[in-house]
Amino acid sequence: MERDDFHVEPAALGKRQSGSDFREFFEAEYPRLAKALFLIVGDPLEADELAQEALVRVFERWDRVHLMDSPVGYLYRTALNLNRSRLRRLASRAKHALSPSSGPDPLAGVEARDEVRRLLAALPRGQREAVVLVEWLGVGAEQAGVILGIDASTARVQLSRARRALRTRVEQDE
Amino acid sequence: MSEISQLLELGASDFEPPPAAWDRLLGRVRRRRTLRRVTALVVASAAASAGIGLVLVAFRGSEHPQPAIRVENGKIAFSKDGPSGGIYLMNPDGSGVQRLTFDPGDIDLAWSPNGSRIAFVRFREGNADIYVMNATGSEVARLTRDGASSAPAWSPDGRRIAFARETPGNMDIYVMDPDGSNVTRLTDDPLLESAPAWSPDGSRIAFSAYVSPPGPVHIYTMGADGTSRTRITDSELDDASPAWSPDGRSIAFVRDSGSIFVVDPDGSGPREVVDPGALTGGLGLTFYPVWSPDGTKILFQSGPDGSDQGIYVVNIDGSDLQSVGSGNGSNPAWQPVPAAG
Repeated sequence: MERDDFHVEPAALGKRQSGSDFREFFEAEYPRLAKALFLIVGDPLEADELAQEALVRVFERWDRVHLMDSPVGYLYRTALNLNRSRLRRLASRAKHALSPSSGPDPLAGVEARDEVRRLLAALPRGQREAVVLVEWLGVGAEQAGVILGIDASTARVQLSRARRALRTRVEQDE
Repeated sequence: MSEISQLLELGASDFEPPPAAWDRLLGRVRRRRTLRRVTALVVASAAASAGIGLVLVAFRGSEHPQPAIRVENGKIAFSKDGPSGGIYLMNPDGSGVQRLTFDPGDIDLAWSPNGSRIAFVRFREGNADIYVMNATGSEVARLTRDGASSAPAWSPDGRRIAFARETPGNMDIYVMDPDGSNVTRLTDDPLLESAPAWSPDGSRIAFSAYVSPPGPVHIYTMGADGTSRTRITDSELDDASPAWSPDGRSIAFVRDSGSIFVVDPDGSGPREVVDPGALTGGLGLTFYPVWSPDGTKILFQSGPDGSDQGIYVVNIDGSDLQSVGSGNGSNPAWQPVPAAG
């Protein structure tokens, strides 16, 4: 049996889904997960690919996952682990992993947005994951640590460094 | 909203997930299912060309150790979710349904070797603990109180219960006496071990283990004291929920939450018994195979998706797949009844 291997209580994400309907879970979580992954990986197609694959993994273990304290925590941990596997594969092919979204942007006047993406892309992966989980998704640092498989103290350090880097930029703009 | 969260919101402001996400997810699941079937066919044809008999698990009066008690098929215990949730009993033809408990969080059913008691997990408010009760539903007793114990499996001599216990970031196999005393840890490593299943002579325990999501799940065996561990499956797909056959010659398991497979206890000759999803045309999510006490059939839980699960039985050669009972049901366990004479 594969009961949840960790307990997460991301208050900001709400309690676990009532009942056991995977379709409901999917509809509630997919858009937010894809967006979080977009912030982390910087590429819309990669973000969608990771979100879909993570949800398939959850679907195939749904009989257990729906009983967990936090199916959402399991989903994000699965997605971020898949991203790490993807990065390992990319690295092993000696490609430059984690470039911000490239190519011309069809929209004009998007400098600020692009700047945010460049800033995010410049952060080490761990900092980027921590800041997206905490600042954008709204989980606590402790829970982010559980999802990322690191100590809460390490998560706090990652978070504080990411905040500092991003805040420096905000202050420069102001 | 903090300035940083506003910044992040801005960064994602033009991102729209591609459309038809649910349909794409279903397509992805179907492709995985197809891949699994192709893999199974390749393995089967390789075995055939090597002159190895396929699929059929022969019962030829084994030289392997036999269970401590000679048993026949009794009733089927199962769990139900939802408002009528709890543990139920039924005859193997689906008739004579009796309700034993009234808690929808009662799962992971395991019969004592003489069929007189049921160990189970009560999953409540995120906590899982192991309980036992009589086969009539009376005398419910709680065995664990850590809130993280699951997957009980009664040893063939009835003197020990193996189970999985979760600790922060890890899960290991333990054993205890049937009154909850004498808890001993059998595994102690970074792998997440679960689903212990005893060999019929009680000398070994099969279990599933994985690193952390999304690493593949593999089946292992070890001595009943936790030593001499051997990995017996090596697929990229998840292999989970091992169940040792009553004659000790095979271990059934679920591959990729879809097909029922059997493999020899040394890991040789893995072969697909049935893929319920392929037969019914659905996606087919399958869990928890268990053997009939007489070793002729495999009982399991399956359904088109994770929330609509029923109980099925199939002969060990893959023939005569049938649904058992009606309505939803999960976590089946077949009662052993001591043979007359």
